[in-house]
Amino acid sequence: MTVVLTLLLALQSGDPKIEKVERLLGDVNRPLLWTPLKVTLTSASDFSGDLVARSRFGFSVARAVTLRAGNHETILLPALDPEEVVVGKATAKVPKDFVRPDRIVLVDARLPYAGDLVSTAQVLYQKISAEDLEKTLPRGLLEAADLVLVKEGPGSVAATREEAERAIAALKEHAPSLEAVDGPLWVHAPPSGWVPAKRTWTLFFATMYAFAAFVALAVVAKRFPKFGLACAGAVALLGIVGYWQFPRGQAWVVGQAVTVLPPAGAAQEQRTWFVHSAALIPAASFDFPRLVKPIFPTMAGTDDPFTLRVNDRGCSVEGLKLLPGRPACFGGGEGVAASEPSGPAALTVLVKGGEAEGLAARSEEFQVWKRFVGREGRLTVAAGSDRPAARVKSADLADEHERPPIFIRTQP
Amino acid sequence: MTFPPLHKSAALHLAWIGGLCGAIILMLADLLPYRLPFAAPDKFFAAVLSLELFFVLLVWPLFVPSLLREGVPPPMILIQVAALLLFGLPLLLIAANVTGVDGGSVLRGQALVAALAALGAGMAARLRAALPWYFLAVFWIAAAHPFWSFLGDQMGAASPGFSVYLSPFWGAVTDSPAPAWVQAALYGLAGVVLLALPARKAAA
Repeated sequence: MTVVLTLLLALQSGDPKIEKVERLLGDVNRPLLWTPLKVTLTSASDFSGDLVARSRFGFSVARAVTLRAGNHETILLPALDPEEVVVGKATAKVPKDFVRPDRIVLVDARLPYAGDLVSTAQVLYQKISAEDLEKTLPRGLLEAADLVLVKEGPGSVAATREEAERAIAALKEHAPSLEAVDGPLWVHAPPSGWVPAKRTWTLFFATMYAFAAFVALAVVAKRFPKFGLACAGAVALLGIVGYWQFPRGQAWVVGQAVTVLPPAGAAQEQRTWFVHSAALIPAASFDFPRLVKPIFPTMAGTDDPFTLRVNDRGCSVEGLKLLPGRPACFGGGEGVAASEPSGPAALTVLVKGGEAEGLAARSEEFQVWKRFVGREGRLTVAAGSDRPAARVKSADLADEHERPPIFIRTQP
Repeated sequence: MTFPPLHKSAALHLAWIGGLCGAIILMLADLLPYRLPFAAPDKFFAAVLSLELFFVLLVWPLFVPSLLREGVPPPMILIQVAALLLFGLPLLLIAANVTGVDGGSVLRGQALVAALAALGAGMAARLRAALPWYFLAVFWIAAAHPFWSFLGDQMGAASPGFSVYLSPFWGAVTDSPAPAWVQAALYGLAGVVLLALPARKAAA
């Protein structure tokens, strides 16, 4: 009986197989940008588990998959410099037969000329289905491509081959995006130390506690000795309530939004989050409102593996080890409605012909974000101080605030 | 049985709460021209615990004679010690949360504070004439001896192993729990014995 049950269980948990792993953008290597993988899976029996892409940076990207027995499923999995793909006990190496084109052009498979375009040493043309486009383009997963030719919707609409060739000929530098390694961004990282909310609350509580004790014990209890014990009890109660309200988490997040406004079309908002901790958290989890990638200070990545779990809308980071003085950084881009900064500016830098004007060009903010300004444009940092925010969710989070936003207006 | 008049001890409670809160405000409000190195989150619990130890070692014994004059039996002075711990607990728990120390560390820290308060109360209640010697001994074991050991350590000499079991500040902040518990047991027992001694015999 036991043997039969064991066999049945073994059959029930039959491991899936990885039939094929291919890069959505073709066999090109842009390790600092998203590299979506198309993984074809099959399983002899029903399977529920994680499809995981292990990165050379030391972390993994995971996506929950459910496979029906005998079916073939193709899953889109975002990845950064992927090394291997794992599902159940099956492992497959990600192909590394790279070509090195100057340009990567993704072509909507619905376009009539899609099959006629032939890749050269300079330009790699890669067909992409409408379904994959819909799943990847709005989330910024095609950032490694220089141009995305589409029939309709977001991207470069090119109904005819002539329009496509004109768009390719007009291509300039690769559009900047957040990269998995960004040294200057880390120079601008907020300082570690106290959790801001805890410091503020401790100061506030110490002041109020001392004041309340003085009023209760030196004024009320002296004037009404009958209530002396009640006064002492009230002070103790205030202390208990004060501790009850104290923020318990050890992590805090400092975010910043950078809105890049192109001459025409929708704006792109790049948002970064620095995650700090005042104490060791062996395995923290954070939910982000959009797809984010880890941003490391160096190419060495991380020695403490964690998992970036992606879902249809946002993503979560799981098993992140945080230490005092060793923050982590995550960032992601998303299309937003174009809007000019309102209110006064703390800093404005004009760039003309690739040269930044004024002393403000030496500011840290400009040094970090100047590649988004390009050769002609303007960077504006809004005036004001950090503001409280509540975009990131975590059980360990004690405080989240945002630095003043940055607006970048690019010129053609 | 006469309980100590809590509302008549307002000066003691205010000194305790005001001292702790005032020191915390000084540490965190950037009122000084430089940052205090022990006002960092990882040392905040040790700083607050050290403040409590300083108070019960050097300030609290000075309040005991006035409490005794209220007609409170010396053993019941321990109620005041409990009140002090209760009033200081929110601040210590906040400090423990900031530093990320566990409940065991808080418990042994409070046990050490209570034991030293009992010792101070016993000395002030039963051996009042010996109080100057008590303060000299506190100065030696809490400040001079650790500083001497520190200097020796800087010169390459090993600190005597028993030092951490002698100095309250040293025992409170060390990673090992044993020194704090040993000190709490020794000093607490000494304090309770002193408080329990009949007044005449002690005076004799």
